[in-house]
Amino acid sequence: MIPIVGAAVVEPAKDHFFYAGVIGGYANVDWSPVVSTDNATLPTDPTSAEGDGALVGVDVGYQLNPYVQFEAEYMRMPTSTLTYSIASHRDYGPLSSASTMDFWSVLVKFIAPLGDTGLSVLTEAGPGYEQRADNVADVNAFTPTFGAGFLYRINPQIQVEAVFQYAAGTGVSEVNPMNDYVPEIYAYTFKVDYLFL
Amino acid sequence: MRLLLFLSSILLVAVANTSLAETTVDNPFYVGVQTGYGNTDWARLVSQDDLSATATPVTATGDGVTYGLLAGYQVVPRIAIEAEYLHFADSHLTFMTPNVYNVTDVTSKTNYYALITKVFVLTNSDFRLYGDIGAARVTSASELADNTHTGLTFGFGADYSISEHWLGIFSFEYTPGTAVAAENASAQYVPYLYSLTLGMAYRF
Repeated sequence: MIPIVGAAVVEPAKDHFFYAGVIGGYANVDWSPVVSTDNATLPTDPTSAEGDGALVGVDVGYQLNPYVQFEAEYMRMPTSTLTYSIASHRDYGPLSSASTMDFWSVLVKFIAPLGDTGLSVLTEAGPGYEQRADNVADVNAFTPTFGAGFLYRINPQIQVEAVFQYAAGTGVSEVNPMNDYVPEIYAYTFKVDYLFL
Repeated sequence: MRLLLFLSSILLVAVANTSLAETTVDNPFYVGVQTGYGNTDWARLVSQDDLSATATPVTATGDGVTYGLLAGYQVVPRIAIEAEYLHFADSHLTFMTPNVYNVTDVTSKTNYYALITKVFVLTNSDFRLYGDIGAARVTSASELADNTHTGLTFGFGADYSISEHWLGIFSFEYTPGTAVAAENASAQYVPYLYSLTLGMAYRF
């Protein structure tokens, strides 16, 4: 290649790099499949379950190129409040109890930049792991997780994301389904990542 | 509703940015057929103990050939919207006797309708990778009940430009169903769907 004397030197934009950041947002931990809807299920299932609230977390990732990123994330989901009927035949202790949810996932993100706006749309998918803990059971489950949202480069070293993410959870049909139920998660996340260029 | 608004906004921003595309799309519309393996997952309903077996099946199988149609619009080279239909293989549920429905064997038919947005990763060849998300309507019909569930669907896959007009598509799609805690849980359950399909589409 013949060097062009006097040509402007332009650093090529680095398109593969590591990044790390923090996650905040809102999530719904969905207990609806185990909330009792008739008298027959009253003795074993909660009569109501509230799983809405704030989530916090951290993420680390690697951008392979401007269109593909790999990411690992941890999120502490909102604590749910489960309420049981006085007809509950189990020794749950208080009729109202708290359930915590921790969530880990590893994702592949497909990114489509929208022209030169700095804004991109993305979809993501990967394996997730949910960890439920309360006074009825400590249950863990691997789950598929998926998401979609927007990514924006505020400046060369900061990317922000607004992403909806879903995790499928698990459940079984048994007399005491609360023993094995792991809720579905609907999370609306906002991420701020620092790019190690 | 919040979720639908959020997903709609992704689609609207994508469509509104058509003018910002790096290049235009020559044959943006496409229609096609698809077939492959489908699983209607009843695992969350299958009874794990004798007491629940009076109301939920003791076995449920839902594997088999799935087939259907697709039609889409390539908004920009990296984004497409697509409508899909899939008919899944019949599911067979077996109940212990006695049970609250007075049945032993039940056949359930499942259909899937969806509107999805695909986000593509282009490569140097005619291959493209994509991830997708959208809204799905799943109908589940049997002698116990006819149920319909509208919710999310997700997937990923790849496609290949065979020629200017023909597109081959390989797709995995996951669609959560729904379950209810009730004595007649079997009459309210909509299975969780998994499909692995090959499609062929004509672009125009």
